Amino acid sequence: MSLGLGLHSGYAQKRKTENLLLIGWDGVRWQDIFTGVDSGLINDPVFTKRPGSLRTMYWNDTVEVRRKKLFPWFWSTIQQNGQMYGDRTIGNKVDVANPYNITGPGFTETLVGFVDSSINSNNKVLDKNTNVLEFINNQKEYKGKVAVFAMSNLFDYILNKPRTGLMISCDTDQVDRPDKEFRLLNEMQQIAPKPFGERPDLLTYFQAKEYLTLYHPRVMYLEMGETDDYGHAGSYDFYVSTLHSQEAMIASLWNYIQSIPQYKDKTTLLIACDHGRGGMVKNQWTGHGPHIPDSKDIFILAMGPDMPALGEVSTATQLYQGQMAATIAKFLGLDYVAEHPVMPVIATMFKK
Amino acid sequence: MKCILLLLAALGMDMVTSHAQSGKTENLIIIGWDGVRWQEIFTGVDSAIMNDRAYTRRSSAMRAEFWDDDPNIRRKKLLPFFWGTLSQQGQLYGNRTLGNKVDVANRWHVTLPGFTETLIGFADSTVDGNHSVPEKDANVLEFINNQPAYKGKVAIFATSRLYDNILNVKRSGLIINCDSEEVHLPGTAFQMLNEEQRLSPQLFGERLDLVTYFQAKEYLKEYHPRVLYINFSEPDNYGHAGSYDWYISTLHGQERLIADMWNYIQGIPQYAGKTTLLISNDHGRGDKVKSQWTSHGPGIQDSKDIFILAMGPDIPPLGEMNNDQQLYQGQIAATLAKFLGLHYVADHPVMPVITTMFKK
Repeated sequence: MSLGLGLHSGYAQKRKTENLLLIGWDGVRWQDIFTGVDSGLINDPVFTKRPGSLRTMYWNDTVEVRRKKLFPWFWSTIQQNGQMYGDRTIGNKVDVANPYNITGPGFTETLVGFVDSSINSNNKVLDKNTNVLEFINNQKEYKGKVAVFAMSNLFDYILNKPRTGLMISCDTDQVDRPDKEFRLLNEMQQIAPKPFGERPDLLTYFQAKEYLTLYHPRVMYLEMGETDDYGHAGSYDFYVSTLHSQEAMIASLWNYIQSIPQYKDKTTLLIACDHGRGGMVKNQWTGHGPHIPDSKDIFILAMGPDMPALGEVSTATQLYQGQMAATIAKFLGLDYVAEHPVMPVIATMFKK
Repeated sequence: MKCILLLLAALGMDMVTSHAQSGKTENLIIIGWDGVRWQEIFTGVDSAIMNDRAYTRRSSAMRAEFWDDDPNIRRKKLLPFFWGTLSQQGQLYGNRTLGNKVDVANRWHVTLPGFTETLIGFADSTVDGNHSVPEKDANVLEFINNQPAYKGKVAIFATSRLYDNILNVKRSGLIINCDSEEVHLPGTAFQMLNEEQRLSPQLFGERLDLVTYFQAKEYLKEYHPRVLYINFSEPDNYGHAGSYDWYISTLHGQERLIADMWNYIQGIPQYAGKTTLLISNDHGRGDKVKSQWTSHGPGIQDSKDIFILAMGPDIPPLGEMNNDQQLYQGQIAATLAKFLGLHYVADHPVMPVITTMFKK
């Protein structure tokens, strides 16, 4: 018992992170993050119906300018204060370690922290492995202070809601709290058109934000999925404008929490995807999976008070999706241990 | 002409309220539904467009959800409220397969002239396509708002920013909330909706119809307008984008919003049994040349073909109108006024009331 406490608080002396904001961004390509809009896709009328307006808003011949037009906040605030992994054009790589390159296995690897080869589909099967959010929620200090808001109803299974008892609101879940803010959101969700069969990301986001305002979780996980839906639909117009808007939503949430003493300068942000999309064969950008090898290529963006401000990481390193779980725990000074193997912490996210 | 107008002005209230005796309608809900085709309203999803890979990417999902060989079942799958409650209690105009016709009277077949004709009550030939300038002609919402019983009780929530000019907000002083405008009223609901509006993805450079709808609904809950006008734009945007998947899912989803509003107000004494609902579009879309379904305008002749749906306590429940009849968009203005027992007069011509919407 005393050993356990020592283990868990070993990093506590200098650590400033007391809260985590984690974003799971379904099916976003590293190519768009690091190189901005793709001219091959903009100029293909099959994928882009309004090339003129995309070009006007987001194109520039210089890649550094182009990516900043698409993601003005990533390429200012995170670039200056955080770390950005996954720009393969300069040799920095992040891969999905599982062989499937789809959502269920991807978010599972991210949150349990290793590759369980039995998780091979998007089927709704309760995951038997311990995950890092559950691990954190089982620490006394964080009990009931971990909340998950997701578009995809897979999260009840990925995080094994019946076993873990985590606060999870996904897909059609209403927030069963008395506050009037949730009354409007619940009403909107009941009636909102659902072109992809799941609730709009906007409502997931505002549920999360209102929950944060009212209940101050220490760890908030937010998953948004329209990016993947528009990719599968083959609409580069909508994919790109959704990337741009949702980056602004993430920025807005970050700026908002800086106005709350509990979170200000005490919160670490981490943004990652579940899988990439095709890139080498241009028309494969709409898909992903084992048959599209480069859809294993992903990115990780992070920023927080304990993190060296390396900006775009340009070293020739190889990271894996499964490393995020232990890294997330370590931000809070916790050493993630489970009954299964755990991939190593991303050491460069911490000061030496 | 001037003399007649002065005479009408002198007669004043009597003239204006002369039809009030028998009407039960005390409130109006009006939906301006941008670019919805009468073909989908009356015949459901279109198999040719559904089976064309250029427009429909998930045709099997669409078929499973909305297809039936019988057009009467098919349209009800797509629009269950219209072909349930509304067809039992109201009237549906514009099924050209039965010879029942509604046309835009203006020559443009685009948004601004269409909603202008609808609301001012005639086809103003000085309206120049979608070139937006403050409309010089009075409109029926302004006319209603100028009646003492309705002053400040007429509200417009629109996704399109064109309404400030269509309704000449500076002159008319109407309560208009459109596009990126926020609702500056107390309450956490409006605060949240304003923020949603700022942050929501703007796939078409306008705010989401969902936000427009809930601003309108929250406004209705709190401020009880007598006349509420709501404009949705996404069907037209998805049409222009050539996405039949999203055009169809948007029609289906927004019909649910309209049903939600109708059902909601039946729980409020001010509105229950005293409200008339009217739904119409600004223009149609092409159909004879199938690929023209994505578009509309003077070059697409059949995009002048539109529909009008209505129900309320004063409307004979005739359901789908199947008589050989020709109505025009511009007739809606005087008809809206008449629902409230008002006789719409203006300093410009006004097209006649749709008489079949009233008991004899």
